[in-house]
Amino acid sequence: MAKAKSKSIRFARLGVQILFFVLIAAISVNHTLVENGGGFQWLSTASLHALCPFGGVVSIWQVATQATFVKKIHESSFILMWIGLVLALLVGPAFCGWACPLGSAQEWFGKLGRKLFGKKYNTFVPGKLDKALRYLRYLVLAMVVWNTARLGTLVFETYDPYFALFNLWSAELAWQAAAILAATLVLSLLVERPFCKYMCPYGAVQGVFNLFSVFRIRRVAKTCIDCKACDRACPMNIEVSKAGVVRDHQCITCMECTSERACPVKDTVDLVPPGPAKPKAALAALVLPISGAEGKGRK
Amino acid sequence: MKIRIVHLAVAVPAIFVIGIGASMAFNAWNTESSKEPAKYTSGAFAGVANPADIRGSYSFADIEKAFGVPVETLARAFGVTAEIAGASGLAAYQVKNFEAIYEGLSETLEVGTDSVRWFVALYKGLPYEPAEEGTGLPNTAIPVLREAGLAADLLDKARAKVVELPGLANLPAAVGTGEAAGTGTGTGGAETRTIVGKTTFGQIEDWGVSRAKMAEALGMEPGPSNAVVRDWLAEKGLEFSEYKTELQALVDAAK
Repeated sequence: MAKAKSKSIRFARLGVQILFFVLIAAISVNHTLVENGGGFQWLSTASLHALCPFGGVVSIWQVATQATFVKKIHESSFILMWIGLVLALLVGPAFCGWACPLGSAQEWFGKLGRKLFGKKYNTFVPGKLDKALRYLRYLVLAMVVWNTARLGTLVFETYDPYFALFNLWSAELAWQAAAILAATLVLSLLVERPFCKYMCPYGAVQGVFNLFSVFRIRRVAKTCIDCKACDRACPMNIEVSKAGVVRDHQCITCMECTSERACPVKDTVDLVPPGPAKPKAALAALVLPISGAEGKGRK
Repeated sequence: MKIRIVHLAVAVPAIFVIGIGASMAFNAWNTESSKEPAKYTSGAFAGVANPADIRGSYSFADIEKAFGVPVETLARAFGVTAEIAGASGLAAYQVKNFEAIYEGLSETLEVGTDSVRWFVALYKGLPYEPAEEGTGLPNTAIPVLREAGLAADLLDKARAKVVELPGLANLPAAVGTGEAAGTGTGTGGAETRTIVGKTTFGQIEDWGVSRAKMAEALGMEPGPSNAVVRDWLAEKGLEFSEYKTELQALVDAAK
């Protein structure tokens, strides 16, 4: 039953994460160089705003009502938003687990935290508090969308750690965003992906698609040996071992729990198309703190 | 059917490449604003580019293209020298830089993107009210607006929101060639700050002499900022030469 995990599978996601991180970093640096009379013509000179799918989300109201974009947002943000939505409809929030550079940065800092704290890592936040905090990102999303629509400016820029991460050298960097980035990275030493879990408004948008995506993580109860390796592997603390189909709004489709990675039993935890949709159960998965039609609740 | 890790490792970048590639093929992939400002939709200026839509990412060249305000004029008005603009040059100098380079010059006023909107509107005679109470104009913008023939009341309104730029009294020739240079013609070279027959009250004020000090020298309230000193005095039956020396002394003291 147990099988060796090949290196190529282990490093496949890391490779994609590095690809997106390096690409965004390079474009952001090039943008600054070009503004100062240098830079490389063969590389995109786009601003970070132009490469952020969340910019498309916050612009929806202005596009719908005034047929214009919020300042600093361009067509590319909208296209990236649609790409993110297509991806989410297919396989859930894979953008978060595979492409988002801020998510990757938190994850890499988390590896250091795991070394420092061992098994205690990612268990520091008390269960009840953790459950409540996980809905904060919907409040952040609502506030950002509302204020962007009201003011017509990119209000989240001032607090956006993703923008700060790639603009540390820029005069546009707000101290609030820098502080939130610093706090996020420090907290990543204790909690895996803290910003994703508690604050990220784009993660909130993507997370909803866990209820509707074509492919979802499914655990086959018949072959499950209840070792809970999937639970331990999940960066978002989802109890995969208690779910039939993972519909937790926090799943990032990282596939760390699957039979290709953590699960020691072949064909037991996989990303597959689910059975017929159960709307009531899906809604409950968002409203209740744990995922899945067969979910039993979080720790 | 099962999605494997390797499938996703290929699919995630591929979906981005395909999506971006397709949008490029349809000419929809734009990472910059078009730099085509919105137009007034009603009134006498309907169809004319609206300075209110100038954004921080606009360069001087973008503004010249959209509004017809020459790059050199913008540079002069906002005290941007070739040295300040750096290797990218004056044409590529972006409006958003002002908020950083002119930060903290005044406790109540700020020179930034809204200042450029206001300046362009005044220069082109277009309607625009500054978006913020604290929107200021650099002192270097006043002579440019005066030469452009701005009405006295608007010029006085602009003067009330002037922010003094440090160390920019003598702009390099490449930038400041349009300065009136005391002749009132706007064709002079380096600024001489000499009161001559065509010097206006506004120019003297620009050179650092307050209206209160001029009033002391003249023994009466000075004329409107766009009034030529000699003509204004002549209208009152006064001899220009009697006051010129005293006014010049005030200008020299203010240097």
